[in-house]
Amino acid sequence: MSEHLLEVKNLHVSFRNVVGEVKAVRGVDFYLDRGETLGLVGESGCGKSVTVQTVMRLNPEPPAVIKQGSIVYDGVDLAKLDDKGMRKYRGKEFSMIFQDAMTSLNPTTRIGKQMKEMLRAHRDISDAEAKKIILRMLTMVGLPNPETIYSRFPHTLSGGQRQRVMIAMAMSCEPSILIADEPTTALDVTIQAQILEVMNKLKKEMNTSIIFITHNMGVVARMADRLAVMYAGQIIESGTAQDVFYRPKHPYTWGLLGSMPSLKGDVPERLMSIPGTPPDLFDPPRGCGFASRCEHCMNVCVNRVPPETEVAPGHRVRCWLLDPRCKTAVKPPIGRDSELIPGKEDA
Amino acid sequence: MTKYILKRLLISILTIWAVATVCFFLLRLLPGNPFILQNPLDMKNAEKMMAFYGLDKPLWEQYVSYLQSLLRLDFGYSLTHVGRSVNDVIVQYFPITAQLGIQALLLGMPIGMALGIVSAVRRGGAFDYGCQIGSVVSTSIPSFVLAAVMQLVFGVYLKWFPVSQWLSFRHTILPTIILSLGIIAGHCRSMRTLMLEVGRQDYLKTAKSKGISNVRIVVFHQIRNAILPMITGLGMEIASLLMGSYIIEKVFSIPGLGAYFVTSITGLDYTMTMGLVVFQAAIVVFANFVVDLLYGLIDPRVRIV
Amino acid sequence: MEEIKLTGHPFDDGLTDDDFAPVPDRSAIVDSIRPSMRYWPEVGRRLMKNKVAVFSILLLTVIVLMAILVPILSPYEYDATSLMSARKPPSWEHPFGTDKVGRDMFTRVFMGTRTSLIIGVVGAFLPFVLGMVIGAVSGWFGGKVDMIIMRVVDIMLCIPSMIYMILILVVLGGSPTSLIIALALSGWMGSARSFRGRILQFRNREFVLAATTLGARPGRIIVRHILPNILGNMAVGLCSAIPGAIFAEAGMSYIGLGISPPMTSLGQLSSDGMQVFLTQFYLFFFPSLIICLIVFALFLFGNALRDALDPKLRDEDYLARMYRKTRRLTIRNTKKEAAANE
Repeated sequence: MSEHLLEVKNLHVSFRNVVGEVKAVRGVDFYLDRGETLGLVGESGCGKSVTVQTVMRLNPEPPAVIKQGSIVYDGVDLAKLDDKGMRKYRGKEFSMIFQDAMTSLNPTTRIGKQMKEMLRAHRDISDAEAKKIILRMLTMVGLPNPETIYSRFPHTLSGGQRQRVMIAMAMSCEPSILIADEPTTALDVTIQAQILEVMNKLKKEMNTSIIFITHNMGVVARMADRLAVMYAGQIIESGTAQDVFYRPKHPYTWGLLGSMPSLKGDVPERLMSIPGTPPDLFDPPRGCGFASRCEHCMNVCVNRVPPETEVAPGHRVRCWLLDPRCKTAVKPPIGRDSELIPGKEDA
Repeated sequence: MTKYILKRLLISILTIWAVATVCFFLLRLLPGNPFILQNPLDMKNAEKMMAFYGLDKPLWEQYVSYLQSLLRLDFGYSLTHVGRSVNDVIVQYFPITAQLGIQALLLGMPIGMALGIVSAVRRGGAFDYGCQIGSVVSTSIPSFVLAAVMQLVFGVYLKWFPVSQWLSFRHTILPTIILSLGIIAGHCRSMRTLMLEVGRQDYLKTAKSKGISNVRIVVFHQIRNAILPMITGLGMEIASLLMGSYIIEKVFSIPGLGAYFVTSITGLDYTMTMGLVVFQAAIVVFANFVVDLLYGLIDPRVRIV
Repeated sequence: MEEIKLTGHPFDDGLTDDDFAPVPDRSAIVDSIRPSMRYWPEVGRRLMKNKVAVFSILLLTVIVLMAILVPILSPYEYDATSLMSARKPPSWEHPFGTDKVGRDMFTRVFMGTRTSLIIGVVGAFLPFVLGMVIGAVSGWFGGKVDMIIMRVVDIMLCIPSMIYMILILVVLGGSPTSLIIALALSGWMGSARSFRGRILQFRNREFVLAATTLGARPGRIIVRHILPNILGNMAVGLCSAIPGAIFAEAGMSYIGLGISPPMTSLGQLSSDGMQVFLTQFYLFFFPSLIICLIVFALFLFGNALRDALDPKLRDEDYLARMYRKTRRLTIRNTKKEAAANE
């Protein structure tokens, strides 16, 4: 029915607790094609992690509840599967790398055993075959002596090495989608670059798609083909990396890009900052989630959720400023083509 | 590794020496004279006895000679039980106390841990609440009260088990069960907490993301990591159980070491008290030592010493 | 302008030009935030909502009131003997019966409760505070001081606490004061160890470093900055330490070293009652029951307090149950569907 590898439609996820519910994801749509990297950016608490963990159904349910929406992969709606049904997909079709490599490996089990466990859960192979695959994977991620790493415990490895092991493990079943949840945040900058390189290399060799979550715009620029910017549980702007980086349309994206230091001259000299904090999703705002922090806020923004506007093919933005009836002319403070937002008479 | 063991051994010996020293001078601070206590009218005899046991010498001399005999593992002769050496008493009665403690530990630990694991897995359910209530209720009753009630129910009315004495295995059942109840409650609670603690760790999410079965996640990842910290507490526990429970011993008239502790202090039997305290300290130190070594062998994170 | 395609925006949404005017006062837009609550009042509120906590508080209050008011409520003196009314079973005159010298057990039990409660509370609190001070010194100053204190703790822990208790009771005699001293001297080591751990845990936290940089003295930092963070845990610990002290007193009484008569305590009454267990069950039953009730209520209160301090734990318990229920239901439904499809 759809030509996309993975298509998430109108996904709503809430976390129930005894008092009420936190609406962590409020109507998210995105898709992923084979072999592409989708960057999911936004500040902490905006719902990025919840979204991707819902795709793998890793959030314990309850407290997490999928209120609405579908996650279609290979013609199957994952949102309707139970835990047992999901197990076939976890690790085999999707795999995940977490933020903190220090804590995401079991400290009391040897690396080899942890990796083997996953291989043997999905493939009918012998111990020796599994070991061969694991050693090959460890070499592929650039670990120098896979034989020793194989029989070592996680605590004897450095953070970068552990993240490499995580990548090797995640890719060992040749999944079609790799979900990387801030994989480089906890690492040194020099190691960050190496890890990104390894991920890109493996992606090409295995034709895997990647969903890459980060709040670091610099990192996402190196990785992503397409970008989706999340704020307060919604995707507020999405498009190709070029679109979002060079022709950003949403005031939040401006702020996000403006807060990134750059060596090129296309950023204002002073780094921008976005005052305020994101809204509490326990009781989300009626209108646009960004209204209270937006300097171009209009009456309508407070009361109604902005519709999605497609400003260029595949470049979708949720902002009232793009409504033709909006008369305020706003010059994007950022972006290569610093054009005016169209439709403004008094510009 | 050898260096670590030697260092630990040295510290252990120093600890035992310190315990002996503290105890030696503490006991001499007690007012009174053991022999006058035994026979208040015969002052003459008391003086003779003091001289016989060397208690009339200066304290320093006594201390040095005591340490010398300690080095030969000789605890000396009891002052109140005439003609018996402390070593004799320990050899005769310690096995009984130790048997009671070990039986209780062997019964209580696996049950407690199993209950804790099941409570954590079925968290918030009826079983979990049952365990929590059970552990509160069983720890709310003083052991001698519980023992008395059990004696009445199982001994007097049902006649399943003998009420007291320590003659056959059947005699050991009731005291073992009572002593193990506390162990079960404690282990159940700490195992549950540890299981839930491990359940929050990132590596459990990794395990889930691998697509392996829930049973495997619980057994290989959760239980494995939760059991490790339990081992550290084991040393103290073994030690305190090896010395048994004076109260249980008294309720069931078990001829263990417990009674000697009490009578030796109230009777100012210096050598007996010293001997028992030093013996107990040695057990504690040794148990901790063994457990630390064991932990180093089991937990890969501390393996490189 | 032509290339802009609007999706899902039919223009019949009733918006006027006014809607597209900038908001006059941006500071007026406030996202709703969860009401922030002060910590301790909130803990109290949660505690009062918990039925178990209310029950345990009521139970404790009744027992404490009885212990305080018993001289007024009862016409008898706790040590008044009367051979005329010796060994009476419970009746309206003597609700808990009388003992072998005709003392009213009701009066004695609640006088004993008084003693046991005092020993329990003070005997738990004193070693706790003593250990806290020693542990704080040890943890804060570190180095040699720490090493020496911790060695002393190690050595003292090697000697069974029974020894200290017996020693002190033999020297000082069987009064509540000497029991409390005995408890304090034999029980401070555990609390010193755990408090030291706490101090070490917080020592290098940013807010402590900040206070140090601003020139606050160690005492002030510990009391004003670290203590509030661990007060909750300490309260829970204290709740479970009181039963320990009450039990220790009972155990001492049982081996004959407790409170000396005619003063009495629950432990003494209960262990005396054990001797006549088969003939006068009530002499054993009532004091034992009161001990159990006090300890039970304290444990329940401690648990409830822990839940109130960290409500997440209880919420998680509840959610975990919901989780399993949902899973069971989905499994059942999928099976049903599969059966229907066949």
